[in-house]
Amino acid sequence: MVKELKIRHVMKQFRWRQVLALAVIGSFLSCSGSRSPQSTIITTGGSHTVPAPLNPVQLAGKGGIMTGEMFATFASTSTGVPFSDPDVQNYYRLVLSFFPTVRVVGAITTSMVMAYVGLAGLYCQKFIVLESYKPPAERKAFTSVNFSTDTAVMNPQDVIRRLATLFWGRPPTAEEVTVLTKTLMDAQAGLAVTNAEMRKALLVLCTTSLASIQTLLL
Amino acid sequence: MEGNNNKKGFLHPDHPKPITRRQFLAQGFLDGAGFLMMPTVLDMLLRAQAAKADCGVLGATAGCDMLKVIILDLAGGPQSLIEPVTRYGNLISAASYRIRGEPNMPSFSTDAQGQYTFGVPIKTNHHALKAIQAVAGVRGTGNPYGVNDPKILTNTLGATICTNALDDTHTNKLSPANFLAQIICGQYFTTVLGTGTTSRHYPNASYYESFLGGYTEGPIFNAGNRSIHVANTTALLKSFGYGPAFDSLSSQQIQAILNGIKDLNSARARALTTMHGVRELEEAYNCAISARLSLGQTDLSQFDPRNDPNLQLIFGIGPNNAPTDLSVRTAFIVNTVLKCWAPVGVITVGGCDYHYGWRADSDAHDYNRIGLLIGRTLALASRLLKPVLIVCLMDGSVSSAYNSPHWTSDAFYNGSQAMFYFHPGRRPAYARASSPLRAQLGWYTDHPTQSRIDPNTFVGNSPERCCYSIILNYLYLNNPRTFVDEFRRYVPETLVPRSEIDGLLLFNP
Repeated sequence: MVKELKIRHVMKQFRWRQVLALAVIGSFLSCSGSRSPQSTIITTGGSHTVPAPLNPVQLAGKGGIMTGEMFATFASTSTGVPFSDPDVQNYYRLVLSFFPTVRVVGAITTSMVMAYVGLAGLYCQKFIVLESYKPPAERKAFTSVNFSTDTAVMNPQDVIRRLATLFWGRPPTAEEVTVLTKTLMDAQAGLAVTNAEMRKALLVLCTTSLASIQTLLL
Repeated sequence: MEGNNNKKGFLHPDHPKPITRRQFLAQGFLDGAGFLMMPTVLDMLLRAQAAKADCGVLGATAGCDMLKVIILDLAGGPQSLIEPVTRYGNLISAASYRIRGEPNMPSFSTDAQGQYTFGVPIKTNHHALKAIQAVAGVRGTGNPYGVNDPKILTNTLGATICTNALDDTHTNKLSPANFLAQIICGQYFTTVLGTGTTSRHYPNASYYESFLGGYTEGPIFNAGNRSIHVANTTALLKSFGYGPAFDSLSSQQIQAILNGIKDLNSARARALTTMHGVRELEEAYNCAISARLSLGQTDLSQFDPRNDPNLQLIFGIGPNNAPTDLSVRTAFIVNTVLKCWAPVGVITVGGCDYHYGWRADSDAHDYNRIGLLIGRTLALASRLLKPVLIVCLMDGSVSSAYNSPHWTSDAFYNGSQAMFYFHPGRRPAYARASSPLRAQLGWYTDHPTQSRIDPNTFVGNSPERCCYSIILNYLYLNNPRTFVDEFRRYVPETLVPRSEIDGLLLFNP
């Protein structure tokens, strides 16, 4: 339900009708680089049309990912970090050209993915600071975290569950909990359990959750 | 002439105030735009490395064994770079030249053996040629561009395509950029988008923006095949970093994030088996992450053209140049393409709408903006031992008053598209060596006083066919055994019949 609300929120803000119209003709690019014999091209503007491998009926219901603008707005709404934040704005402008501008995933490029990850990281970094100033009961994700002690105090399972609910609109599955727990362990391996390292660990968890297709998929 | 960048715009009395991006470009107000076709800058490099990792994408030499292409989008209507000939291979008449800015029959550049420079007639007084010769070190005094590489003259052949482009029309479907990016990257496209306006590169303006990076369009459009505007090389390279939030994280923690995202994506794809495309999305997304992981902590400043000795020498740039300098940006694009980090580079050369009058201005532009760029591209290709195809597109041309050297009006029928093919190891050969039209597709009419593009040839009145011909030749240069089959993957028989193909070939591999 929350996920549905999230989608509605994004749809409302981004003229969903236009997005949907493009989604019908949207498709995905396999990273495999294979030259499929089906890889024909639709041409436009001329007097000819080469049939596409998938018709609109087949394409209906295909997943796509948020545009850059959708993602920034969603991350801002979720975390409470304003889109107008100067650091966010600077980075967003830097990577703007890498984002898809419509919900059509033609080529997923490395730069595009890194733009999502970088922007997610920036929002999360500021989100952690925002949360740390709030009393635990008013926090969105880090209610179990004690930011005021020198040593790290947090309940990883609670953080994972709250981040998933915040970004994905649903509790995490058991598999997703396992993945994020392992991510946390990998990030913290061999490091001292200090408050500073805990904040980095939170950044790792938050960014991983926010930049995955669990969040981006519409 | 170096240093006269001719940056001012020209408000032509017979043109409306520029509104579209194309109009701004043509009149010199938005000059120097440079673009690299998607997949993004460095993506080729990244994915080549990733191929060694876990996603089995493009081969380790992804696209690197294919011919490199630089497209110069000459926005507006400059004079032809290569002089066209009639259907029997004859030069057009002296009388025809009188309305082409040459009161007298021009002379044409030849080499020591009496052969045309680049194998094609180019006017001795064409300033683009003078610039190329200066880069080669065979013209001018001293060593003005620090290169002195005569090989760029001896190992380059030219060719021209006599096509009536739609004059001053942004819907010209001349550009092969999209096709080439697809061919070189070997990717799977099904996406469709038509032409239209987008404010992607100029967020607060309504300029027309080609998806291909320049101002000319191509016969196909693909939202997935995107272009990046190279406006600031430092900012562009910085964007390939992880972003400021990760500055405090160790490489171990960054790796944990990227691996975590991959695992989450996989978990989601397994859960959403009924949604079309999620599996492909997961594969593509994770492949991109693997590509970035494979680059590790590589210092991206190595890709800064200002730090590259070859580029410093050839493009005359250094660490003190601003990352927004035109020379830095063009050096970045040419270098990036020649080193396989991007499949296609499109450099838009604005200010080519020459009909404002003064010949000296257009000559300076020919020299500084077109000729030097061609010469420097050839020089870098020579130094890197890379064959390169330079495609020069224009959406019109100019004419002069009778017996005047000065331009007076647009004249699309006076133009021609040009290509230069350089091979570092030898002088290339023409595919139809015995034909009087071996270096030309289409021809000019045999009119005694007003010879112009014959619209009745296969390419004469069709920018699309001009584009297809470039693609055909590109594929032929890459593999003369399979090029027809490859060509058919992109262009069906109905558009370019098999019977036309042999007659469209220009250069032998």
